[in-house]
Amino acid sequence: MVKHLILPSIVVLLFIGFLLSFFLTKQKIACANSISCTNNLSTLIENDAQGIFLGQIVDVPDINPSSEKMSTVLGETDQASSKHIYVDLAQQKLYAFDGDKLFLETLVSTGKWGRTPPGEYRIWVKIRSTRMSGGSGNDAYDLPNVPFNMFFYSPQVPKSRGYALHGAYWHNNFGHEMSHGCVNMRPIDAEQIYNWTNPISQKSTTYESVDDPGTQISICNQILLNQGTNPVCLE
Amino acid sequence: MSRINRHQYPTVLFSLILITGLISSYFLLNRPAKNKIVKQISMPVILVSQTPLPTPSVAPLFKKWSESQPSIDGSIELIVEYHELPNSQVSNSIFVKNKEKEKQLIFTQDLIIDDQMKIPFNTWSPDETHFFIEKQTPIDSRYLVFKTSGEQFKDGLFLDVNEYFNQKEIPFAIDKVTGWAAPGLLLVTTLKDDQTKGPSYWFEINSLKFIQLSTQF
Repeated sequence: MVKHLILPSIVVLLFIGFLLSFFLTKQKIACANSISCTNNLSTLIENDAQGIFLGQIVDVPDINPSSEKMSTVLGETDQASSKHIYVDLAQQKLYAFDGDKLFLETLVSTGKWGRTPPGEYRIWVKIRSTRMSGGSGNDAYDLPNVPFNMFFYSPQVPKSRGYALHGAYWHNNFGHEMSHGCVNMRPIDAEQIYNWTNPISQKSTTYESVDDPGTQISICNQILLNQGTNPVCLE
Repeated sequence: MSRINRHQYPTVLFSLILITGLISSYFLLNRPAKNKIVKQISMPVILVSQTPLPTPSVAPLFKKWSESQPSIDGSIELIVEYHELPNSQVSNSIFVKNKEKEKQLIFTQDLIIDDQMKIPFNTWSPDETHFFIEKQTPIDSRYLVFKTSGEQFKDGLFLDVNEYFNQKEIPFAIDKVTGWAAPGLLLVTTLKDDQTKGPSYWFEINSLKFIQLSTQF
């Protein structure tokens, strides 16, 4: 009887091995923030905290949500599909378009230690403030009160990887790669984009829904801008 | 009366012509001026007021323009105002506008027209305690760091990054100061002699040290 079980057992083991290798290799996309990842997706405000970046202690700006007005760009809640963000990795630039109208153009910092993966994404959750940590050795960072976070995903880069557009208060070297995978922006630019994108911010943490899907984001190696037409993402 | 001899006719004739010419000339030269008839137009009398006439305004001959950059959270602003001068120079004046929208002059310098103080996009330190300016000339760029408060450093009102770099005798040339890696740390990129990319450095503004990085920016 044992002899009859050998062949089926080998087949089953091979099948299990195949499944394991398939799923393990599918996890090629590392978390943008190797420690915090997406551990806590509720708003986290830690005033009077200190941050660490590139071995330097960083003063963390306070956030007082009670003094903030939940502002949105009026008249656009029903035009989510017309909004589109483009990120040019070569130029380190972000363009926000509403149809063919440019809403904002600014410099950003994408991944230096951990490349920001090109692709077509959608915002799935917006969080007013969170803590991001990761790296190791001289590269270690621990940053409370990261402002205006817009997490995005795609079939190739799942939500669990924690990639986001967000404000960065710890450096001012935009136009150059500085992050661990996320798209850093000046806080004043991040705030504008946060209030403009869908899902429309209702609370300090807002998920996309069927009625309010997240704004599309194209992260491109290079972008070709033509007047009167949508930007073209060059591979 | 004796009769005029035939031989005397030419002489008499010439004399008569001469006398006639002289008399005519006299009258021509001394004739009275003709009376000019002037059209008379009656004009109303206007009393001239005692106040001076307004002088037309003259457009300013010397241009003024400015550029600015907010800090990363938008709370304060750096402004450079340019003003053409009569001696073909341009005054470059650096101001900080604080949260209360009050403007404070930090530094001013008159430069030749080809030189200019420019505000880089990443001018502000993340903690807003410092900013840097790019002083552009046709030959090169120099990078100057100021305190937002306008207070002096140990050696003067600003730090000249290029000067400190040259003092260290680092075997590369500054390409650019791109921005702030962290508060107090400027990112400096360099070029090798063959103009290819050299290593990147932090310039630590407290210690005035250049720290070579393992990563190129």
